[in-house]
Amino acid sequence: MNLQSTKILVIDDDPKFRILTNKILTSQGAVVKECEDLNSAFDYLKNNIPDLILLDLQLSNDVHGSEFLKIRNTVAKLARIPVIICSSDNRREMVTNVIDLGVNDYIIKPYRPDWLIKKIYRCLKEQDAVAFTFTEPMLQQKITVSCEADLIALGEASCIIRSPISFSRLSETKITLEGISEYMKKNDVKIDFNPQKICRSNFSSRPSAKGQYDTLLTLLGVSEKEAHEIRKLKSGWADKK
Amino acid sequence: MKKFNILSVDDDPNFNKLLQHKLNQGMFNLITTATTKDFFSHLSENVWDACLVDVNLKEGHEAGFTLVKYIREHLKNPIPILIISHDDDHVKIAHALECGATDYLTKPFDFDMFTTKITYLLEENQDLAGQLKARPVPSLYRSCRTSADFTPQSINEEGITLIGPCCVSKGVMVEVGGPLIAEILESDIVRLMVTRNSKLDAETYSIFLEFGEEDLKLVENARKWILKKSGV
Repeated sequence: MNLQSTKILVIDDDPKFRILTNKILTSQGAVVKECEDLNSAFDYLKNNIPDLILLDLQLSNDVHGSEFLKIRNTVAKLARIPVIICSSDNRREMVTNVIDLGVNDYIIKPYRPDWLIKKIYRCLKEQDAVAFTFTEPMLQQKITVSCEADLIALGEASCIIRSPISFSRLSETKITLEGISEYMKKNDVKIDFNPQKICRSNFSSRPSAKGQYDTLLTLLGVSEKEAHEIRKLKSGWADKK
Repeated sequence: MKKFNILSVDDDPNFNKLLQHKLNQGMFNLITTATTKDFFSHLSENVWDACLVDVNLKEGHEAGFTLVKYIREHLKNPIPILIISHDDDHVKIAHALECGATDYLTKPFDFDMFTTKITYLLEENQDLAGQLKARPVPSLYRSCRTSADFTPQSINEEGITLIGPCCVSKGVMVEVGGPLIAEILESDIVRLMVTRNSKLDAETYSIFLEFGEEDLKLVENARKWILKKSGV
């Protein structure tokens, strides 16, 4: 077991305890930062992200360690740092209270150095495990990613869209032509046209502006009626020009 | 003028007559068949430019899909196949593409559109042929949404990595959905930002979608799910 270059923040108002803990942890290779109150702790956390925090509950000036947890829980980058409570307060309700606030472990003062090391080690190991590589059958589950795009051109058999997605040759996409629905509403045009269409790119996308790509898509499943409607729309736009 | 040889299979004699009437002139040379047996014997005896396959054949409901699969997987024939169906259900269209179909036409179809599609496919002409060219849409009515399906690769507390046939630019906000997303993040659709992307090979990309700093609930749900799956 080894805590080589693990950054640990110790928040405790008792200097004797801080020195003792510092000694135990540095002997294992950890890099320790001591803070005697919440203000100095948050100052440190502004620019530093430790791997773990050891927190005392009874701090000076009647400040309770749970205050720290409440604030930490509102800041995502801090909420990810595991916290172990080091306290002489062993009342059951106190333990459950802070566990509800999302602490990883609780150790009662005074403690044996090897217990503290063991708890820290387990805590960091759990933290490392917070990643998962998907396996079968989850790989069969499609994840749909959608984003806003511009319909540059429309025809009976095809359309061109400009979007931040660069499609490979022969990939499929589902498009929703919101602007066309808008056009129908605005001009009181009642046409038989499903604004959702499945399309296929027969060629890969071409870059247009920065981060934008133009893709020529073949419209699939367009009925005779819809083809007529698209023809009408097209000629309407041409007239206005 | 070059004629295109087209082979079709459909068990509806009236539709076959209509096809003959509409297509057997000008640029097409069409043979219609009514059974798969007939279709395959014609397919192997001549050289064809494209096939039209009806979804429902005499041999069974959705037998057209099986037929397309057979042409692709067993005969290894890359010939353009256009599926014809009365149904414009998106699930069916997606299934047709999965089976290996090149395009999908809904009955009754517009013959001008059909001609455009065929010449486009066969002449590999990037500008869609004929008068059915796509016309510019007025800028007021251009808004649309586009979506693509990805395969999940990995997840951690910061975000999720997906693999797919397209690349999404960095800094773009996307909506992400699917049963797996609902299970992990306890929300049907989540808005995430693409912060990394990379090309894996000619037609495969990986994108990383980050959970926003402000949305603690997502991070917490992801963390809970991962810990549960990892058995911690």
